Amino acid sequence: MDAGMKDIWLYVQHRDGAVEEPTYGLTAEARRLRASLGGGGLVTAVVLGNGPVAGLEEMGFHGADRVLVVDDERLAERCRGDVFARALAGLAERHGPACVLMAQTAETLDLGARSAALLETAFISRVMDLQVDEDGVLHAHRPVANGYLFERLRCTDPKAPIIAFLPAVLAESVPEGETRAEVLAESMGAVSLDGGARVLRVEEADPGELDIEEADIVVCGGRGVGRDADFDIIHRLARAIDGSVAGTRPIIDWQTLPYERQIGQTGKTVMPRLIVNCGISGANEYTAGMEKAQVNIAVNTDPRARIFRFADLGVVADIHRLLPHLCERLEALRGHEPPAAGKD
Amino acid sequence: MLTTALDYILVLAAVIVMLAGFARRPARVRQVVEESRRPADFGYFLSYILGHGRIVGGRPLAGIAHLAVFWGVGLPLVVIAFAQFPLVLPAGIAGLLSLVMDVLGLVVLAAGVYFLIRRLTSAPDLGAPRRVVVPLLLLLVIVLSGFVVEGARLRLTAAGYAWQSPVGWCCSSVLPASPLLMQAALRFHFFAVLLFVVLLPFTFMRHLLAASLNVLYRDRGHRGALTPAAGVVTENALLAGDRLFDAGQLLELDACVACGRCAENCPAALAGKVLNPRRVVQNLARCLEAAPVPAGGNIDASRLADAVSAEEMWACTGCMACVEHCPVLVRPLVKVIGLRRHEVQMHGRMPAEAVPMIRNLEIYGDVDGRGCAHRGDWAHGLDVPHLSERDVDAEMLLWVGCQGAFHPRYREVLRELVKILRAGGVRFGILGTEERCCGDAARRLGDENLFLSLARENMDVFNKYGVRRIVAVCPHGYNTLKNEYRELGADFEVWHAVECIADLIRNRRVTLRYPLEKSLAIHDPCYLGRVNGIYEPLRTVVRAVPGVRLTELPRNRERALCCGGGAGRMWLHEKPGQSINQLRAREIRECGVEAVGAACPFCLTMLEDGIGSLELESPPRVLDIVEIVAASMAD
Ligand SMILES: Cc1cc2nc3c(=O)[nH]c(=O)nc-3n(C[C@H](O)[C@H](O)[C@H](O)COP(=O)(O)OP(=O)(O)OC[C@H]3O[C@@H](n4cnc5c(N)ncnc54)[C@H](O)[C@@H]3O)c2cc1C
Ligand code: SF4
Ligand code: SF4
Repeated sequence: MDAGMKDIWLYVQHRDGAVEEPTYGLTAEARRLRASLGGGGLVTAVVLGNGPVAGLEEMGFHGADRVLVVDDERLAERCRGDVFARALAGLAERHGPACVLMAQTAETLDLGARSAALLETAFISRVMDLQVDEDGVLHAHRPVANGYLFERLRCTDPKAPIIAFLPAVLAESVPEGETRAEVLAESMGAVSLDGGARVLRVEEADPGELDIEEADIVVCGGRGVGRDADFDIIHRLARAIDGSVAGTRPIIDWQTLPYERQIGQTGKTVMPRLIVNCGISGANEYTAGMEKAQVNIAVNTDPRARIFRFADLGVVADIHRLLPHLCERLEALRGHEPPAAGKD
Repeated sequence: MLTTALDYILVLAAVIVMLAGFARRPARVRQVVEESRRPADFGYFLSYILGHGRIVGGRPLAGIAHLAVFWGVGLPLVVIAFAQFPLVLPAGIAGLLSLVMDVLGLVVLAAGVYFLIRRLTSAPDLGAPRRVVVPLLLLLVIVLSGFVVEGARLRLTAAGYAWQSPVGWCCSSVLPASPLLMQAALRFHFFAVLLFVVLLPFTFMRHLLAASLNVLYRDRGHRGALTPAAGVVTENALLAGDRLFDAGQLLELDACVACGRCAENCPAALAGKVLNPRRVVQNLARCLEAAPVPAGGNIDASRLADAVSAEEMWACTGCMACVEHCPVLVRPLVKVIGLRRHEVQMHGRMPAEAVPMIRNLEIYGDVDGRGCAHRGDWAHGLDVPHLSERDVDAEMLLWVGCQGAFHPRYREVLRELVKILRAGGVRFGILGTEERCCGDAARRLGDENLFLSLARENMDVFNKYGVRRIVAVCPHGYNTLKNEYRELGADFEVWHAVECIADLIRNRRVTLRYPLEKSLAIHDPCYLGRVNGIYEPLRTVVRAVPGVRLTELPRNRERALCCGGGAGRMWLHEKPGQSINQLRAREIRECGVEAVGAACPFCLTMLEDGIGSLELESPPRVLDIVEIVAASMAD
């Protein structure tokens, strides 16, 4: 493999037979990196697992040139870092990519560190930005001291370093090209299953209970919703769209929600992909905590409410008349679809 | 009259024990003089002690009782001391003196009983010491035995007239004519006095010395200016070291008489938060007392810091009510800030909600993290000159502040202010992107280094443009620039916008024409009122607006209740208990006014939020004085 030295690998995260979101963000990074390395190599997605994964060819629309798939029953268990690492390291030994990109999760932190140890190369976590200088040396930026400071690392290791990006910096990728990626099956080689940690059970967090700072979707209710039983409609909407429930300060003052669920200047700062603001006027002390959300929906009876200045979609309506209908429709939609694909 | 040599020896011994008990004080005082550079202020001390104004102040009854005991004990003491010398007074004067002493005895008796009842019936949990009961009882014993001596003497000698010692005369009528009784009562009286003297340093009565010293060596700096902690200020940073308080602060701890006036006026205590300034000071004082005195008189900071919980120290709103009302010039607020500094600078602990704001200040130089590039955006389209422009014609710098630059409501207030200043012919400019947060919130949240770095950046810009006069809209910025930048070499005048406006109105440079037909009350912002003594300009300005019916809130001026937003509390979560802003909002509602006028961005937000949470049919409107004036101005 002559051009192999310049190949950029990205590790595909998949679940229940479908590729997960952060993977697409990696393709953009990989393409950018390939360009700065001279453009010769292939953007290669690597899939480790057992059983079919849908949409691998379609990764070509996002810029992947080929997909290497190791489908082996020894990879049936999720999160077995020791087994996956040996599979990945073996593959990398054979192909010799320029580097391996991952989206940082609990899983890849484990996998990345183990693979780097096996390959005797560098593992850089929490990366926010990756650049290549004129000499082809990688430079990574990452936050330290809780984000107070940033450090810049120079990666001089000649072997394929493993880079884990903070998921928050991975931009969403929109499919662009029409070319499908080439899918190649690879073998796993001799890896024994003995020893190591085993996964006994995977417990799903109830999205409604998820820490609002971590949540992808937040449904926030304000004084306009009302207290106690009136607030149930917010929980219902959150359930319907897998959102996490939050409130403005009056809601917390009424003890309808606990303080951990307050958004704002004296509460938490959230940056979800979607926030639905229900019955919220949009005081500066509130918006200080949610301005950075990607998509903002507001529902309020008062068309002059300040919250509409932040809204991508504003609905002038009474919460208690609009939301029950909306929830019914969403719940009905959900009834026909597999649970994981119910997001909209 | 002392008779035997033994008596003199006893007196001497008592005085020696007393002095030994006070042995720690001279060292502390020396330290105060040397390290805090506070000279004795005899003039103030005399007017304080003779006039008793500060003690009577907020609590007339207790204050007058104190005045009574002070003179009732002090004067007889002087008379008795003189009686040791063979002086002969004219009969008339001697008789008058005797009458005065007699009446004073009665007054002390009444006051003593009053104090005793007060202390015994007060809530025991708040750090009010019971130690005061012993000396009080002793005092009563001294007075009563004095009357018995007098009565027995009169019974035996029947000298003098009834009018000269009415109480003694009454006593004499019920006492037997017994020389033994008189002698016994005399000795009893004498020993009681000796005991009182011996106990001075060990009971509550030590406040006689401790409080007096605190008043004598009072801090003469401006009350609004925090000082750069007891650490070492180096070129770039403050090294907090292991010292939490300087000597002057420790002197204050000794002086606290646990009267609870601070707590009575503390918004946090009133709202039922854990903070109680009296308990803070008393707990610190107790710690100080228990600690051995190391060389140099400094005591381990962490020991003191442990005496106060984090929840207590973060509940303070910096409103200065405790400082205003303390009769012996203790400043609980400064203790609280000292403790916060220790918590932040030594341990890096701060409530989680405040961390993003501090980080914004560190990275962007403003509390909202908008960045200095946007700091001038509020003035868009107004053509306000920047001091950086060439040929700028400005007599004053308009200090905008983070709220003026970024808070949606306060940006409008600033635009109105520009209108008013222009109408008044004031030539002013702004710093635009070169302004940074003044550092008030950072400093009061305990991040002294951050304050210093922000203040230095601002000072550099002031010096660059040779700024001589500043007008600020935010009372916090006003106070910080005026009183705290001095230590960094500031040498400029600072005005608050309301003072400026009052001036313009007085000189008829702006005319107010359009009426505001509303009943309106003034909410005195702490950092204008208590901290800087600006009360009247707010009222002058509002009175100049036609149609306004000005009323006063029950708690106004020095006693005004804080909105709850000072000392960084704008960024801290209010723990359950009452919200301070709702407490104030209720006072405003009960006053029945249609609007309330404030002159502070934090007050505005706090009151608006507090009144909003009452969910009234027609809530009183919250207006900034600047808005009121702008609306009434003739175009
Ligand atoms: C120091 C300080 C810190 C603060 N910190 C925070 C903070 O961290 N987080 C926070 O949230 N707030 C905070 N606040 C409070 C903030 O200023 C606002 O008061 C608060 O956010 C208002 O909440 P709200 O929008 O839910 O209520 P409101 O302002 O009362 O708004 C209710 C809205 O609901 C609409 N409405 C009413 N009925 C309906 C209906 N049936 N259907 C649809 N819409 C309806 C109304 O038109 C109105 O716009 C703070 C305040 C202060 C002073
Ligand atoms: S600090 Fe001052 S006001 Fe407070 S209890 Fe002590 S003496 Fe009284
Ligand atoms: S400054 Fe105000 S809130 Fe703080 S302790 Fe003193 S009275 Fe209480």
